[in-house]
Amino acid sequence: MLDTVLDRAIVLLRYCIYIFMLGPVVVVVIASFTRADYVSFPPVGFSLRWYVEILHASEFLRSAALSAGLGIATALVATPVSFAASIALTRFRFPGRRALEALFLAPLMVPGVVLGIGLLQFFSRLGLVGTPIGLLLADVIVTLPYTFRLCMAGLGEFDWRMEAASSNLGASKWQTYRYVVIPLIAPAVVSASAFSFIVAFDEITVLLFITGPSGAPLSVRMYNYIDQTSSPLINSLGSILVLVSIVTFVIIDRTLGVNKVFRTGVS
Amino acid sequence: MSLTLEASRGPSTRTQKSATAAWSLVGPAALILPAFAIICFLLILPVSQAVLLSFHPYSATQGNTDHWTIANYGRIFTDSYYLGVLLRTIALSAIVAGVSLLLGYPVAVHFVKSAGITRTIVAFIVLSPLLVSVVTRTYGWVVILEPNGLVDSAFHWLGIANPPQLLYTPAGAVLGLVQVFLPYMVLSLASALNNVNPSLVAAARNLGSSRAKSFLHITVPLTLPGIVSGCAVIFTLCAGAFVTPSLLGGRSVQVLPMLAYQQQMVLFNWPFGAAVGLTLVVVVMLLFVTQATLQRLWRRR
Repeated sequence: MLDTVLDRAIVLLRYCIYIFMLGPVVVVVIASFTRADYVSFPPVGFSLRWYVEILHASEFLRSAALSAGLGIATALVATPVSFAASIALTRFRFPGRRALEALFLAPLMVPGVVLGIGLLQFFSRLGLVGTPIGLLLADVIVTLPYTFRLCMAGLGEFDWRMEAASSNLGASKWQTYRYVVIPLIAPAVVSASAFSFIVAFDEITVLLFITGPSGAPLSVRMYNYIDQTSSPLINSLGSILVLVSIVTFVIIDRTLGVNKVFRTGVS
Repeated sequence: MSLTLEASRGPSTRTQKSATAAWSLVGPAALILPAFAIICFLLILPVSQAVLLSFHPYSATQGNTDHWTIANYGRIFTDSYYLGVLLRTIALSAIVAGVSLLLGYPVAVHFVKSAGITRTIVAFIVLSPLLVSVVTRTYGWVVILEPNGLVDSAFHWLGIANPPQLLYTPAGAVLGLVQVFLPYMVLSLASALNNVNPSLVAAARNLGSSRAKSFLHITVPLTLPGIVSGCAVIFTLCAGAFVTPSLLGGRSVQVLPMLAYQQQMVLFNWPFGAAVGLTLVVVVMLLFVTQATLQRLWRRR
């Protein structure tokens, strides 16, 4: 009897938790279809008015273009760099491998504000504060541990004996890479690139410190806007961002598997 | 491994071997160098500069001076306002970790027990806060919690005339932070629950123990490592969180990351801002040492 009551209570609690987890995002998306000039939930009527408004919000569009550029550039820098390091750490045996692995994951251990403070000082000496290069470098250091972890996860499953087997069977070095190595490690590269894009696109804390008066990335501009006021424009922008994240995660899930992103990060 | 396989190729083995040996020294170094350089120049160098700066006094007129001082740290630990910020950060992180544990446990149990499509849906719901940018997610809470928002309307509908204000209060910040960090707790607990042998629980039930009792005396102790590491991860992330407490807590929840940001970006007191940030790092590190010690003691038992 007591067990049944307890069971029912736990099931109820579970549903409440699931609503709690999904609630804020669902509210943002639903409220974005309002007709009114103000944010309300439930929304007033239904219209795509605030999606059209985005096209007129030139400063948000410029920020979005900057963020997209930063995301792509970060993926192009962080993925090859992590990939090279992961090949060295998975294929070769040498002393200090564990230490290097810990070092490449170290940015995860440093709070964003501390990294922001450090980079602000460093970049102000080099004249990089507020420049796209400065923002890119900050995004690279923030995303490096994630791309590195994904490359390690992908390469950890790769059996390097395949490379030897292929050349033993008479394949040239080029053929070995083209037909054996690259197809087997491609999923890791695709997921690392997709993940670094989305992490760089969404990064905010570190960027708040080194964004100058002009050229704010989208996350920073939205933060500054929300800090002052609220507008359905943020809802429609946010809903588009949700869509971008979902697409990215589907790509990762189809290639390497989403669980790899989070698994090692917890222990 | 490649060495042993190549040995079967015959005459050229010797030269092949030495070439591979040379490659095995130069190759890894060249492959590691770019990542190593990035870590040195964008992490170690900036953070050590911040450490050095935190031991210098601040002067609005002269900029940075050559004096060395520990006054910045002294100020944090003696001034009651800054000490309050430090203690509030610790308390907030501990509360968020505790609430996440209570909410995360039933979800983790559900996740481990479920299969097929239910499992995929649970995984999606659990991971969903991580899929959405922090700004969008936090903005969702602003819409829900603000005056005349969803929560307010619900209270009015229930006939409560003066509902409690949640936005810009510690409660609002706790809600937002728990939602973001719950996934980490669920993942940590789920991996611990996977290692619990179900026949132990079945045995206890057969011997007449109630569900609640077997849960408390068998499942919970066996998942203790997952509980400890989940709480530690959440404490760490929470202590370093900036966007969520500043948008949802506002001035009522002044925590170390917000103080560091203000000193740095509003008051331009860089040495003190750096000292606040590094105090945060020390707090987090102390927690990790404690957790590692607890973990070791637990294993020895």
